[in-house]
Amino acid sequence: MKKMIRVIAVAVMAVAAGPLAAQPNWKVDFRELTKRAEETVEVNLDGRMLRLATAFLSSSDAEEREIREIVSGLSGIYIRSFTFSRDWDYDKSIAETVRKQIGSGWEKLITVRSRTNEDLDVYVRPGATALEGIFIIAAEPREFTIVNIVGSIDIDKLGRLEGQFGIPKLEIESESTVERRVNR
Amino acid sequence: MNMEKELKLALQRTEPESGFSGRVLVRIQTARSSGNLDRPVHAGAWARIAATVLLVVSTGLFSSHYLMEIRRDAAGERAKQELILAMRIASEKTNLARYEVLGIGSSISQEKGDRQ
Repeated sequence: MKKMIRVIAVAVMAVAAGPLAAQPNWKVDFRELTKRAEETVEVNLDGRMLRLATAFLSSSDAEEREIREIVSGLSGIYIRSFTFSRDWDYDKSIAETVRKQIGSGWEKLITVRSRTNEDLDVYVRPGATALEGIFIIAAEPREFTIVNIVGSIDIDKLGRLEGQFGIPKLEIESESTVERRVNR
Repeated sequence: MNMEKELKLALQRTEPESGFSGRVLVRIQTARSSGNLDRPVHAGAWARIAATVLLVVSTGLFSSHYLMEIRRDAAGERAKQELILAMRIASEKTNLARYEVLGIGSSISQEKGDRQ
């Protein structure tokens, strides 16, 4: 019941964005993941919705000012996140399906493969003076997340948000398995 | 019998006082000059109806504008909450990648140190 309420709440948020809210151009079927997930988060904020959202950010609040600054150059934020009650309760091949959707213009920045922990892919779209987009595919034991940010983005500022604004700091496990490759 | 006589007397035609006709004509002239005789009886009602309609229409317009503002505010708040959620998730995954890179960097340094 709780799960249904959460899914419905998030779906309402997505629908409430309005019929004109853009969807990302992903040809990926997430229905199976949605069925198996305990919690599903879907965010579709195109340029219009971003402008509307930032208009409601408080200018007297330091954290909200920071978010407004980060978002100022963006034209879209699209997120899909699925949380599961058991480890690897989803088909990991979905990550490969998503990778195939990434078109030209995106460069692979980071690839992490782990036997027991997360697989991580980070792609960026380089611009003339700054990054013009970031695409993250995170396949963790109990969470599968896709983050697609389109527009001029400062990754350092984005990372600094953690620990502020009620965003909890990430608890990273100190142990990790071998077999990691980093593409630079 | 008395009743019949009294009735006859009561209903008998009597001539009005002198000047009666003149007084009636004067009163008619006065009423006509003040316009009371020519104005239609229901003109005031139409004016009241028009005023009411105007009031209802303007109230309706104001209400719909007010409702639109409320809906816009609600939509904006929802979009703001979505944005905050999106920032939380994006920040978390960005730092996950950063920590992975730092973790590799430190293990590479450690290997170098072990070899030397």
